[in-house]
Amino acid sequence: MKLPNRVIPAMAAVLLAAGCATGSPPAATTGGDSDNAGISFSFWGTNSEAASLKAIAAAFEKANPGTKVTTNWIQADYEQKLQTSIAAGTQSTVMEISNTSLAGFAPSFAEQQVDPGRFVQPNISDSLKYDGKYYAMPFTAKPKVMAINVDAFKAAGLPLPSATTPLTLDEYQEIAAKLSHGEGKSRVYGASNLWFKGWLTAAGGGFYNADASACTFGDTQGLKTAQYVVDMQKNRYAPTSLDIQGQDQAQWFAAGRLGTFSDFGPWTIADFAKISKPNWTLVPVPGKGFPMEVGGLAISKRASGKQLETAKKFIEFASSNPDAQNQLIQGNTALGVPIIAESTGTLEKVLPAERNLAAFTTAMRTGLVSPSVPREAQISGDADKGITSYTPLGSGKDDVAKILPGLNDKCTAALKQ
Amino acid sequence: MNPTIGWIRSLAESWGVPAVLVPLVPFLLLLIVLYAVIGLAAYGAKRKWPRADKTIAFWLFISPWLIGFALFTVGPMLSSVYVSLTAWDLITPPRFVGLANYSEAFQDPRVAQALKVTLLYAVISVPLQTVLAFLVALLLNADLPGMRFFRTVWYLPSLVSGVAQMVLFLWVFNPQYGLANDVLGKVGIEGPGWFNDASWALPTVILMSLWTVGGAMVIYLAGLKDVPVNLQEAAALDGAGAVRIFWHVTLPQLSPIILFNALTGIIGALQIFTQGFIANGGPKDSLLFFVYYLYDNAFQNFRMGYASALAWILFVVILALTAVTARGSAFAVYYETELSGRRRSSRRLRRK
Repeated sequence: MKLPNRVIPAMAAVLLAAGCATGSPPAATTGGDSDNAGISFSFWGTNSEAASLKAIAAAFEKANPGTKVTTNWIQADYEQKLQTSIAAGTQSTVMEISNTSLAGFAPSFAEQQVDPGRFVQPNISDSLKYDGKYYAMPFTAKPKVMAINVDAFKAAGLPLPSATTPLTLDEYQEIAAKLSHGEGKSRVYGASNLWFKGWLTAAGGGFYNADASACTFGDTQGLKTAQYVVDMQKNRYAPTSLDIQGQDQAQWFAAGRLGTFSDFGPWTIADFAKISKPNWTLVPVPGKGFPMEVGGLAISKRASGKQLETAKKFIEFASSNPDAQNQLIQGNTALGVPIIAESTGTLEKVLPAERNLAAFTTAMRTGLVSPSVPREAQISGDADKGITSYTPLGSGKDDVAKILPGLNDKCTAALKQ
Repeated sequence: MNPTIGWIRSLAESWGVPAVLVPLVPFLLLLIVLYAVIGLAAYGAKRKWPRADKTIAFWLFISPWLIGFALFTVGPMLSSVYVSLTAWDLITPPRFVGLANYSEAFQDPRVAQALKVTLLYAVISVPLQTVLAFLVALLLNADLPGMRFFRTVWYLPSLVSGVAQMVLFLWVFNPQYGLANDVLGKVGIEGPGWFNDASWALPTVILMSLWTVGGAMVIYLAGLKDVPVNLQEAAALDGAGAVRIFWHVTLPQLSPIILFNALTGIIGALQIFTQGFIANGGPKDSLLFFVYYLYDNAFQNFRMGYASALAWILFVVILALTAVTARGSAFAVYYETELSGRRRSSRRLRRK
């Protein structure tokens, strides 16, 4: 049989084109039953935070000869890049994830077995549960404490607050009033700029209710706290967001312009370590403290075989081995507070005892954790934009009592969508 | 990595191809296969091999761009049409929702706000930029010593990236510590909140956009240098003054350039993003530009389907406005080639 002249080249073209196809989906870096036990590990953070995580990976390689952990430090837009890599099937085997973002990513993470008893408080592992299942292993906690300007307290004739027992919000307001003085660009504020979400938790409220079925920042407690913050700003005990725009409040503290600095995370230690004058120390954040972020390590759902085994070993190592936990502290800064009892003391020794870094351990033991909701960025982002646009909690001028309930209702409606 | 590509790469490595060139090997092989497919298909269609004439050379030379265009522009565009008909958060598989995203967009008050802010910006900033760039070009066209220095100075801001510009102007217009309010304060005027005030944020961005008219100015300047001197001399001999020469000779000669700058200005203005992104949408959504809202939905809210639908809506808006502008310009834009074209056609008619 003779094939027509046109058919042969056409068939050749089809065959050539078919040769380009593989017939199988592209293999992700997490892929299958590879003999190679190497894993990849994505994380975000500053130079020092990345140094901590790279050091943990190196310690794991040392403890497990022949195992390779390829680190992937994503310096900006971490969640966007993580999400796009998941969509493309090129995500790392292990991914750092915060408790606040867990819910949105849970469908792409493998379920994990976590023993809550290993950590210094049960909140830490609970925060990485979604729908009753663990989707990440905790490896660090990031509680907030408050720095106080010891010299300013002495100058105002005020006794120093307790190193372990938090002030009440009313006591704090009184102290801030007494510490505030001066005018213009040299005014000294008793408090640093007040972060509404943080102070809401400190006052006993919350952005969401416990089961994250409704937003609660516009309820009675929310309005009371918002008014508290607005009054502190109106009385000029705390700078507004416009006052601090483009400014570094740590520098204000160093220059003696702040009596207290309330948004002090473990990563702030390095900035304050440089400050010798004014003299300073750490105390708990007033009331119930600010919400505590928990850092977790998740394994890609696509991981299997030896890579899955290695990934499990790696996150176990990072969360419960003192060699790894001690790496959270690099020089005089920290990615977070170690979460196992053997290592919590490591952070406390970074600076002299009078700086009271033990306040972090206290804050971690009592720290409250916000629930995680899917579409967190959208829901809380929209609410935040509204709050900061319209009310004096940001750059607006409208009454918080008029604006917050409406935003709260929209937020709850978005949660229920 | 795709196993086939991995295999080709390892083969190339085993053949001693330098490591820096290894990633290129699969791509080049793909191109060769593609050309072979096209060649065989062409043979199949015409029953003769394409001749190595100028046409073939043209297609070969243009093909790298064509392939890139098909892979990286047309492909994603077609893909986004499909994505716009789905609900997709990148984590879970896309779910087909028909026209629901388009329907939601037409009812979304923030889409209306984004369109309002973007159109207002385009309508005000493009004419202002056009007039300012043109006036500056006229000034810099003067034959005076040191003019090259001033041309460079005017063009320089166009080289600064959008983010750097925005950060700079956030400082200049900082209500507490900024240069603008400091200067205003020295003459007894209390400056506004600029980016922090919902009613001032957009005018501030428009004001800021005038800083970068250098790019358009250079094009006008080139156009002014190209205006035939004999036309201006002829007009002068006929008794026309400077204003009449400008109005009846210079301006018509530059009208295609003005149209070009206006069209690219409109398209650019409708795609403004950086200013809204850095200002986080501005107070009360006063800087909620359409592309920023699109980005917000895609990469903050992870609503790829909705964001794709917004992208297509913007595409239609830009297409419509460009078409209206281009069509409307027919009455005001003078093309020298039109005249010669008419001459040619009249000659052809005479021959017939």
